[in-house]
Amino acid sequence: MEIFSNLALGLATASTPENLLYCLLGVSLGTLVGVLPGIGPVATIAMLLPLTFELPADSSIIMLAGIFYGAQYGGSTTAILINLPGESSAVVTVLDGHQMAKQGRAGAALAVAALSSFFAGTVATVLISIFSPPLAAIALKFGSAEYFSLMVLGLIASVALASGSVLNALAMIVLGLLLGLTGQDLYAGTPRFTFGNTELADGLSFVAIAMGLFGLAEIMRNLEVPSDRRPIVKKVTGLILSKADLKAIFWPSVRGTALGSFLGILPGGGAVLSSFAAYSLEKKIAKDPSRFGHGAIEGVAAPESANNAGAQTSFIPMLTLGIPSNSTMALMIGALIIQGINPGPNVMTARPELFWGVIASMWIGNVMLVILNLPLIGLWVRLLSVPYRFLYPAIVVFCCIGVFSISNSTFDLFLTAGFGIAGYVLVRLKCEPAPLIMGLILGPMLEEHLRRAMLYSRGDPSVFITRPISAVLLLIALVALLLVILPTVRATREKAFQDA
Amino acid sequence: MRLVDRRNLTLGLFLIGVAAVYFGVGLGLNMGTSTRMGPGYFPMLLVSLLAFFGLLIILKAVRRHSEEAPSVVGWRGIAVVSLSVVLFGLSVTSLGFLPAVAIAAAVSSFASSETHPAERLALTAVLVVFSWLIFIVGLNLPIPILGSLIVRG
Repeated sequence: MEIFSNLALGLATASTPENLLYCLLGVSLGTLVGVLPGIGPVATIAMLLPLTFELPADSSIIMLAGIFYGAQYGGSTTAILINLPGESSAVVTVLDGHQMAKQGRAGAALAVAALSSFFAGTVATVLISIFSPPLAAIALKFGSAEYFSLMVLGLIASVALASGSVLNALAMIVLGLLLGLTGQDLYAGTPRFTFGNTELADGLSFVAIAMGLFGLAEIMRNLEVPSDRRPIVKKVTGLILSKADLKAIFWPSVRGTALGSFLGILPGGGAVLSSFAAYSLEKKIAKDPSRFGHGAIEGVAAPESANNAGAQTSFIPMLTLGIPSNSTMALMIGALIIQGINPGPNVMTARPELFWGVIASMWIGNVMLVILNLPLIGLWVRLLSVPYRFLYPAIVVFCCIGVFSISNSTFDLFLTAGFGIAGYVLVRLKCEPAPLIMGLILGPMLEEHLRRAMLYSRGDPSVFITRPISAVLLLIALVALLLVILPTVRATREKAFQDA
Repeated sequence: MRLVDRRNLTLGLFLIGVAAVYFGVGLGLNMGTSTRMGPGYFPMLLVSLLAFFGLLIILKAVRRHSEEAPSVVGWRGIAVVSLSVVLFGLSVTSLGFLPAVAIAAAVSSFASSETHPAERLALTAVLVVFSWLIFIVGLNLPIPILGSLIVRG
């Protein structure tokens, strides 16, 4: 079976000493960032993107991926111990996890989180291996019209499945697309929207913008309220689970993994949505739903496995189709572009060692996380007592260094500062920055496919509807959009995000 | 006097403003035909979409008024953090990596009202040393540690 030879290639790539090191670095950083509130995997990945210049492509993606799913592990640690989700995907874990901690079962909760996540990570790795080749094979038959429609679907679905105002998110996407078009026109070479500035001829540095929007803006938000939370954490013991516990978490983990794997692939899906959905599912089918919110062990197992599965399967559209399902994946695509790799179904055939190496590294990373997290819990928790006012200048400095290291451009730093302010303003105006970043990265690609499709169809716009696959994709996008606008669905959506 | 939703109103006006600017610039671009799209085609499409959304948001602002009182704006944080990044940008070539890091660290620490001068000094020192170790020694970033104004030749 081809899967085994592919995975073998992947394991061989991922187990070289350098890649093991980068994987370890990635998951450790991810856990650290997940534990610390006020900085998340997106900002960290943005900060490390410039450094991936120096690294080979497979090492870069392995490390960045490690940060992403490592942060899911880290976020649940703080969620359980101090009632503070380090990551938004851990919000649901707070509900029962912290209750378990209060009942003296913090160790068990942490162990459950780690084990369910590991189970989910293993299954997700297998699923990715099975489903990626056929998906990429289908995508290779895609023409420009299909790609255009797929990207439109991706953008709209990510809005529909996310929280917040749909209209605002759509506006952010369009804004991002426009910003992404800055620079030289693809075919004619005409400079566009450069306002006479030669620095802009290559386009706006998306790393600079990402660091501003996600890194700096987050810092500015956290500095709004001058307070220094010093969490009081009790000592954690009892990390071994009883047989009864293991029995109790098996099926919730399986369900969580299944749900997370499915939702992760959908554009706009990913870790957060998966964890929410899994928790709701467990609560609904539980024999005694009243236990939830009071330390039900299933309430930790299900969302934890879901968020890890969702985080990993969200790599599938990115690796096979070149479509990002969330802002983290958008940045990964950016990393591939920096390496000179064109994201899309060609990646699997052109760079198989990269493709399978990243997939294999995810499993290896999960192993590392289980080994890392359980014993090192004390260390991570100690870090929480570092006051934020010492942390954020470090983040600012690293942002500055990172942005400058890309092209030694002072202008990029002004860009970062500007988008930091913009990011803060946008969040105050109730706009999410993620759609903007997705639009920014997809803008040029979207235009390219539009132009090519129109060129082949000789100016006939109906090509997007007459070609069947493209028509189906656009139809799904339309349905998703309509569903979200309908008042009833809107109310359910808001309620789902308010419940937790 | 009906309360207008100021948040959405601001957002809508901002979007229309951006659309107007891009429209103005885009007029100078060749639109081409739908078969052979010029550099201006897609941008103009997007500009119209953006203006449309801006309009919808303004309509939303006028129809529904929000009772939310505006919460505190962290002016200090905004100003100080962006200033520290700008200062880094201005000083990194002229003064060099190490001074730039020191400036960024020191200035940004002013954003929090709770940092004592002694802590500020320690923080700056620690960050300079660590940045040097990680980025110059460890990663070999090609940024001169002392810039052209300080080191001649």
